[in-house]
Amino acid sequence: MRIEVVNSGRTLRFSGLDRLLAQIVCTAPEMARNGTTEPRARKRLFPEPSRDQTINKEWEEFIQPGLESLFLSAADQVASDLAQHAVLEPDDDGVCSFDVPLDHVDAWLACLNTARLSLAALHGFSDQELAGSSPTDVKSLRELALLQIHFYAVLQECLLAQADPEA
Amino acid sequence: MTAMSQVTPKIEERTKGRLEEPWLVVVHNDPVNLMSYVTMVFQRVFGMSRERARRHMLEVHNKGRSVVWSGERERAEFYVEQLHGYQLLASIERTSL
Repeated sequence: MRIEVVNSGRTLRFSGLDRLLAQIVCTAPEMARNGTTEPRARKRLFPEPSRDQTINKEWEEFIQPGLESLFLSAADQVASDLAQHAVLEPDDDGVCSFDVPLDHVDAWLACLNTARLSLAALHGFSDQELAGSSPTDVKSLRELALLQIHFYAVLQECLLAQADPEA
Repeated sequence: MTAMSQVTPKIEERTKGRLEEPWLVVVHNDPVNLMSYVTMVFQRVFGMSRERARRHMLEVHNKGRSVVWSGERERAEFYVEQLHGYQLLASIERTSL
């Protein structure tokens, strides 16, 4: 299977996905939103900025809500884009596709990153597991989560390359 | 000359005022954020060149942390907020003499 990314000038079209990967893309907003509610993921998404507890208390009250809103609105944007621009049933060639509007690339990067961080925190993956290769044969929820983390990373790299071709 | 009471000026003992110590913005390593992503964030938040952003990213990656900015507290907090918005692990620390 070979994933293709084509820049039309208005959107990035990702095509060549099998049904599993297409479904994994569609779960990104949900994974991101989960991270804002589950305690282990929240700890990573909203880390304390200081050793000073006074600063941390003020941060939690005044800064954290804005950050949470930022992450959720990115997830909402991606969900909206997928509802409008995704082809999740295999076409005649047996592949699925989805479009990322170019002016929504930042929201996609944020949503995918939130999803990866949330999944990593929820499952407690080691550095070695995260640095290793993606599982090829998914037999458990944990392996599925690792596949999600790796695939979202692939999508992020593609988006970053489009956003900054010299990177 | 009129005798004037000798007034010994009250010398106020001034504490040698310390110059406001700068605050540090420190970025910490985490195994999830992509190196390319972290580099982009440094360029965006601090206006760093790609080369400088990459140097700081590699310092985070290899040494576990990098001081990416120092200065007044309010600005440091602003930068940490921006970095948290990109989900980097960042903190604000006092410099120690």
